[in-house]
Amino acid sequence: MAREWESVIGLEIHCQLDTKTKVWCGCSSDYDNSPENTHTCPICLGHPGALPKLNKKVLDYAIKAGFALNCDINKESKFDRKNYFYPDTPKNYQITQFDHPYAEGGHIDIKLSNGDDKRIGVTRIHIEEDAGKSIHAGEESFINFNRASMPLIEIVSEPDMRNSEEAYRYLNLVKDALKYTKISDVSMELGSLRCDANISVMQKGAKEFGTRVEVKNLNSFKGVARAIDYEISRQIEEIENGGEINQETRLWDEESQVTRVMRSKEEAMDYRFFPEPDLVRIVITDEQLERLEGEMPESKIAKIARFVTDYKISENDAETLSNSIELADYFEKTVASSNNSKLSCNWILTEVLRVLKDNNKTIEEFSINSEELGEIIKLIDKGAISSKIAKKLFEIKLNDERSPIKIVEDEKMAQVADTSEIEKMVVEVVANNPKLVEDYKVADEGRKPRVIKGLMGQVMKASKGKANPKMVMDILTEKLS
Amino acid sequence: MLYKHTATELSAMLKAKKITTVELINDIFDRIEKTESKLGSFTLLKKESALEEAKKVDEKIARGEELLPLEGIPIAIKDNMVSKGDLTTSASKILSNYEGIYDATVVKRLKDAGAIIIGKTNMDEFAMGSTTKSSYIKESKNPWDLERTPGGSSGGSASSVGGGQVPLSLGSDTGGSIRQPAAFCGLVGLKPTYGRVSRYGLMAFASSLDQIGPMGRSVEDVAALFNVIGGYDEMDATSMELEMPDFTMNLDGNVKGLKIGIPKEYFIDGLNPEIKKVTEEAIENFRKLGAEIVPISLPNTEFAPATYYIIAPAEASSNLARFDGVRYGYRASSYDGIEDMYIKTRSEGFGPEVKRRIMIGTYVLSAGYYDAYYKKAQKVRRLIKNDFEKAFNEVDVILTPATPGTSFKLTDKKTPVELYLEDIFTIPANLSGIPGLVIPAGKVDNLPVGVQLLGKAFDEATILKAGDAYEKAYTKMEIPEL
Ligand SMILES: [Zn+2]
Repeated sequence: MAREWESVIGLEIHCQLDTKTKVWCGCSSDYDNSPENTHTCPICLGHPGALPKLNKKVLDYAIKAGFALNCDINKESKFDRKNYFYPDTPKNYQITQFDHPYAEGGHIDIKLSNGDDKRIGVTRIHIEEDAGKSIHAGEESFINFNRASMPLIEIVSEPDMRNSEEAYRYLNLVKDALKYTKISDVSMELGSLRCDANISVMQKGAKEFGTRVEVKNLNSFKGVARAIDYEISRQIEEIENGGEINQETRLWDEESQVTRVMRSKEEAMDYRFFPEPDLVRIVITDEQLERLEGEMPESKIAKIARFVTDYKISENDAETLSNSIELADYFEKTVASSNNSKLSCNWILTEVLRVLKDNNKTIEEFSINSEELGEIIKLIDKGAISSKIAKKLFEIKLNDERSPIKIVEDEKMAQVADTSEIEKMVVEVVANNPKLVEDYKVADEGRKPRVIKGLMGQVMKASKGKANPKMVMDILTEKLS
Repeated sequence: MLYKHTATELSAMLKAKKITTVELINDIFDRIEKTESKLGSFTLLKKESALEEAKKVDEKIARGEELLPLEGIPIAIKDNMVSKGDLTTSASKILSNYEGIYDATVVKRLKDAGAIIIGKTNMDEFAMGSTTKSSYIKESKNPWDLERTPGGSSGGSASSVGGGQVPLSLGSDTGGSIRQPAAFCGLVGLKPTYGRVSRYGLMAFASSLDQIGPMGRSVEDVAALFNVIGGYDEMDATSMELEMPDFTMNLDGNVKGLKIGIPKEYFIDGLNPEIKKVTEEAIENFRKLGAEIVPISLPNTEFAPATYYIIAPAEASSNLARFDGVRYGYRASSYDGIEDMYIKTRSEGFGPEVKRRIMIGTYVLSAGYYDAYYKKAQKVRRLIKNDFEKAFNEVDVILTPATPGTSFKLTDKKTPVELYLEDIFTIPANLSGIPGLVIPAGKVDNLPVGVQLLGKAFDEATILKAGDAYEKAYTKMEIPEL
């Protein structure tokens, strides 16, 4: 008889903080294009006698992450040493926070596919240092210490997730929340966001969780979901075949899409944690908390809700606009200038995003500022230009310094709203299309609108798209009746 | 014969142009050449660069510029303080080829003050020991009896000053490593308050206990050197942002009304009766000088060595993990894979005392033992600290013996535990972070005996003042014939 299974998933997310210097020393963190081991000093290389000193910005950024994930910030916390030998760990211990992290008890609400909300607990966030990078080349190994002592925060979730989809959504929302605070570029591709998953399975309704397996080396959002799916089915299969789950650490093999054993419980390390004697306790003042709270941006979730209410746009559109805080700002400024939120939303989601995507640019690099786009939209809204002309204007404006109004003037793009001029064009089209006119006259009510559209198209063409469509239609109907 | 003078006297002579700095440095190196083969104080001598520095000071004097208090004064530093471009070995094979790539804060401050670093002094390997016998490089000798130890771990710093090779030196004190050798060699040695002198660039033994301090032949000299090296340093997170008074200023010989506490727990069975006698004489002498003697109790004293020998190795096991042959220092010549490289490098690179402490430290921090040992030790440490805080509500200074006995023979076979008990009187100050000063108080069988003055945290001024008063009244500075 087939049994029903339930899985339990917890995530540990490492996020590299985007401070200018490393966590314990003055080495620049901007090493991406630098030669190996050029962003190093006695401190981050673990030379004898060198001591760590906490970069105050790291604490500020970490606290913001705590706010973003709804955590309680502990006014006092401490650093500990996690001892283990590894060549890319210069001191052979990592400075981290063991039993007194600076942030605890947070949460993120995810949306399930049935539309329900589910709260995923954030157990804790702590500050720690990154290691260097080992490079293996045949028999030889090399180490690049440029990344050593880069500041990280580790975000540990409660085991609240039940499937890969929930984990995927949680991870995405954590990423969004962090990105909004501008403390990190949160990119899995660039390694500034890394994730490990703790996975266990148990029979549905069981009180105790199954044996936990930690899966490491997850370096894409899809990889996280796939590894979880794989690991759940592997564990179920193992138990159903009469086997047992071992408490172990496994690695996700992206190439063959399987997990492999890295370390068993017997080989588990004893990290010999103890309080870091070279650093004093972290003390966070009320003033610091107040200042940082003041610097916190509106959260993405709050922004989406506000956009839907204030601007009467769809939730989907609001979410797309809020994918980057800069795009959301651009939208709001465009609305302020255009006074038309729906049209602004449509233009940004279609035209602006298309141009950005084609040129692989961000909104901050976009050549038309929000005020100018607002001006274009205002011109459409007033009926000064047709939307077709507006698109032309937009294309010109992409590479033109002149204001939209100036371009419309210079290029004579304004709609023709002069009755006599339109009448002249209508008379001409009626005269040149006797067949269509005849066709219209004999057509039944159902066909009439189609025929008249054809005539109207001719008039619009004659006006090079500049004639006011409503006026054309009115005059045309009048002439034909 | 310039070597017989104190740093303060030499500074005055330089300022009065009675001698030149080059003469002084040459005289110092003459003395070193005559005595070094007997004393074995140094692991590195820098005569050339010292003479260059001396010339610069002389040029300054010639230009009529004012000299800083220690400008032109030769100083020796313990070989666990990093100096740029110099071999800095901590007397260990694992660092036998290690050249400093930066200056420790104390080194930088000495250089900025114009003091002349003449060399690095021998020590017990990574400051673990009380004899210098654990040094990978050499044994240092007690200038009062060349068959005996100068003490440790700052033994080279003590023998160099005691033997007249240099007027001042820097040592480091984790459990008594400045004060015990000072007592053995008849010197003044100060372990400042924890957080008073930057540890940046001091090769760590036990981070929460280590403190750099001065050793000299007079309290005034020691105070002058302390002035230069002390004070807040932003490179050390545990350094305290407190003002450094000029510690040479109130050495007026007056201890009238000073309350000196005598803790009964320090006069134990293991204390050599001769040492006890000298200590009691010192107490009597302080009374004669006008101090008020108050019996006190520090009830948790007996637990200090056990506490220390858990906390210090625990921190050491972690601090010494960085010596792995990956980035610098000694690396085993052949190995099979990274694990093997670590094991061979560290097995060959560390001496037995260091290995013993790394193993103890690894054990007491390991899962399942942490609570029973390390955590408990931290609690006892708090109790010992509380004892002192309570006592200092009643007294200004606490006077104790410095060591249980006088210097012993280098050939004496002592067990590690016997050696650990050498520090029994000095360890409590490190566990509590308070300052301790050892001054010469007399001799037993022509071997120096010191007494220890303990003070409130950051109140080095009071113990220096008391020590200076005693020295002026009773102790005559001597350098043995060699
Ligand atoms: Zn660095």
